[in-house]
Amino acid sequence: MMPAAHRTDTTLTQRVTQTLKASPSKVFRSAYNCAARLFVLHAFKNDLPAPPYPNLLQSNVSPTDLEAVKIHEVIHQASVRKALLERKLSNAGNAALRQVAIRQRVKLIDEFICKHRRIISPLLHLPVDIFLYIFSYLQPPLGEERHNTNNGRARWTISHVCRSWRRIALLMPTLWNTPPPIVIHKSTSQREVKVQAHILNEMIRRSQSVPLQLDITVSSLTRGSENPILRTLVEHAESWGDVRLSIYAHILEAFHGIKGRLTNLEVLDLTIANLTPGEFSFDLFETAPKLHQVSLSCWEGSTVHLPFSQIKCYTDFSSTMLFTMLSSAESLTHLYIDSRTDVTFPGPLVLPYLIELRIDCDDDITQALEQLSVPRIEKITVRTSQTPHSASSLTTMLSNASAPSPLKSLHYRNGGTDPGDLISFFRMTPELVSLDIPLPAPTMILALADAAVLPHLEKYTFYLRNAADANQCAALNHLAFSRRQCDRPVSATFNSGIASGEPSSCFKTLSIVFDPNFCYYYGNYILQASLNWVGVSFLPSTTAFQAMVRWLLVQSVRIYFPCHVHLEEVEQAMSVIESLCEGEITYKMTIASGVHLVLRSIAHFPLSEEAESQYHFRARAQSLLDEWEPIFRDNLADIRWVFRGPKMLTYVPASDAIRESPSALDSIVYGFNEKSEIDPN
Amino acid sequence: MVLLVTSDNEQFNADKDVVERSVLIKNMLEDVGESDQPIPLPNVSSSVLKKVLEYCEHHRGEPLPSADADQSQDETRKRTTDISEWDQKFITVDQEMLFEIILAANYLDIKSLLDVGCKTVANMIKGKTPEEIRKLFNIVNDFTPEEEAQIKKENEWAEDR
Repeated sequence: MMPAAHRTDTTLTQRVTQTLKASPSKVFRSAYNCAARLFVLHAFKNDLPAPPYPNLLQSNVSPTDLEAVKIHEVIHQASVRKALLERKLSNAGNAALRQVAIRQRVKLIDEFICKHRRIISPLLHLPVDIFLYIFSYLQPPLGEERHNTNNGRARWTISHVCRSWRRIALLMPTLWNTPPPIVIHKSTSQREVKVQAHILNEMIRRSQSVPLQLDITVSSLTRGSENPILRTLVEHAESWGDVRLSIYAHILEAFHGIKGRLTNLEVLDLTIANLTPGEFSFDLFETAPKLHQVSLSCWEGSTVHLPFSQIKCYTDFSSTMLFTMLSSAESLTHLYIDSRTDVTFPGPLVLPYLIELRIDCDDDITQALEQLSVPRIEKITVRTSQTPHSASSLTTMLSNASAPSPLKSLHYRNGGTDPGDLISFFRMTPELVSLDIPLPAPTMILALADAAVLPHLEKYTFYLRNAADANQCAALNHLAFSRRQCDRPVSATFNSGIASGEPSSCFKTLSIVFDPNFCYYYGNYILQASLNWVGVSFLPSTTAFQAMVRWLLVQSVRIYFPCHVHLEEVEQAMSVIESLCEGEITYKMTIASGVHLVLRSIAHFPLSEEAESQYHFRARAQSLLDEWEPIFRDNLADIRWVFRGPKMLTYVPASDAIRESPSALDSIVYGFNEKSEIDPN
Repeated sequence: MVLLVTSDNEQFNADKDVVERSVLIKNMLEDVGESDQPIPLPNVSSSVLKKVLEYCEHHRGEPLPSADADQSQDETRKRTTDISEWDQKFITVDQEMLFEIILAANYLDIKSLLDVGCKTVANMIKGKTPEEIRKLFNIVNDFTPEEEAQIKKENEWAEDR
């Protein structure tokens, strides 16, 4: 092999020749530069040690330990030489040509060092298993490529970088077992079908024996001609592992070849649509010995034969099959029902192993709940908009099993109305840890304050659609005090009628979540103030009423500023705020109005310099905030209910560590970030 | 306190509960029992061990991943390459140090640190072309003309999709 330095000279000579043949206007300068470089190379080749392993410079092979030692040596020699030259450079004075020559030599040494450093880089020493680990983060989860094709591209990219990366990528069947989403439609061009079939075949080959994760949508097929994608899919039925299939009923027949061959199928997400109403039955998936998770959506009148007795996790998007399925689902542990219509069961149903039940229903579910018996249930999530009395149905459901329920978590939504009397329910759930229900009546809240009712309860979340009244606010504070050992009640006391003995066991979080449609509702700020200063009226007096109207305007500024609000309107709002601040507004009213949040938005808004110099919004807002800061600091201890993002108010006890932290003012007055955590203890 | 000796013969004293985030060191300490003997780490240099100890110190007291958790994490692992804010700042180092940290985490068996390092490299790869990756990691394109032809074909497939 030709020595590296010699190769460089030849290349330069060729470049000189080429340049001389090129545009005459550039010839002289280019030729001069190339000649100078050649001169430097030849004249000062002693600057550079001979590359000990020139073959390694052109490869990604890591050197042996001995070779690495030698490479370190030559890098050291080159570095020493470079240091000498740099010293010469500083002594070169004004001799420009000499400086240019030295710089050129330093540059060559740098290139030499860089090339040699590359071959001793730890990247080339990474063992294959670490590469496998890194590449495993580039596996696209099923269905994700549908939303972002880049997620699937990374595996191709890494296999195109160099030979060793390609070899490692091809060693990883899990990198290839999720082909891109497969869409079969008769309007798809032949070329596209051919490409999809190519990719599918190649990925199946590369995935070796690892079960495939397939996302298949078949909306129509061309009559009389065989689709190569479909053929490949059927041919490899034994490799189906996790399959999402959306298909029209009349095309299902095209998959008849998979029947009885689904030996590796574990997860099935099946959506079957029908163009013409009527009864339909199919059994393609009836034999799949490993199938344990099914999600099913089909139309009324259809019968899908599945191995129900072995299924552990079932999601139902159509109630037609539900009772049949559940009647034979002996192993079911997780059941999710998502229904737009009412759910009813013709008779009692025992699900002996069910741990989690999730129901999302637009209609009535009371009858279905009352038929269920779930002796091992640990988590219930019920969201329904049409069942005002489903709380009592939940009680009936739990009472169908004789022993106390091991339920740990209840998440219940019924359109925002009072959940009703849950006391009987709570008596059956002594293990309950997490409770998320619509804000109940004060008596219910007070009952929850009694630790004997739910001794292990740690997480209270109350959903609020509209407003909370003064009694609810007082009851919430009583609850906060009763279940929080180290706290004292906030300003006003509430005569609950419950003996206030020793404080009972503690909760970890106590929060109010707002309906997403009411996140920026001005009443939320009043609620925060009402909770923090129970008994203080924030209802508008004559002057305060006007202010309230302004606050509403201010709220709109807070949300839309400045896209949808003219600067003149902001100017008006700012003037009102400034005049109020000079007058009777107290810091409590400030909190109740949310005006401090508005001002902070304005103070940080990237307004154009022109607008700022005209209106000084940022400066004015900041000036008010600065004025208020000492007042806020002095009164931080009063503020127990704190916003966490616009969607939640959460209780921060007096003893919470956050109050001692440098960010106390920010967090407590202006609210936590949505994702931030409060000290759970 | 535990005394650690690096490949360049530097000594580091660290709390037991900090260094025990390394399964390798934890097992060594269990094998040796109560002893003042220094633990040699011939595959870790002092500059890298300093970083590793910084990581372990910050994550002191956090639950260690159990063997059971590994499998389920493997399933979810591929779904997210998110890294916490502190870890991100911690791992913002030059490439050489990044790979040294990965190698050290692998050798010392600190799974969470290995995760952070590998996720960082995966994030560096994401969204780049092969040429950009080569440039980023200083990798030589060493494909044969036949392999180049095959890659070109694969690219055409990808473009056609």
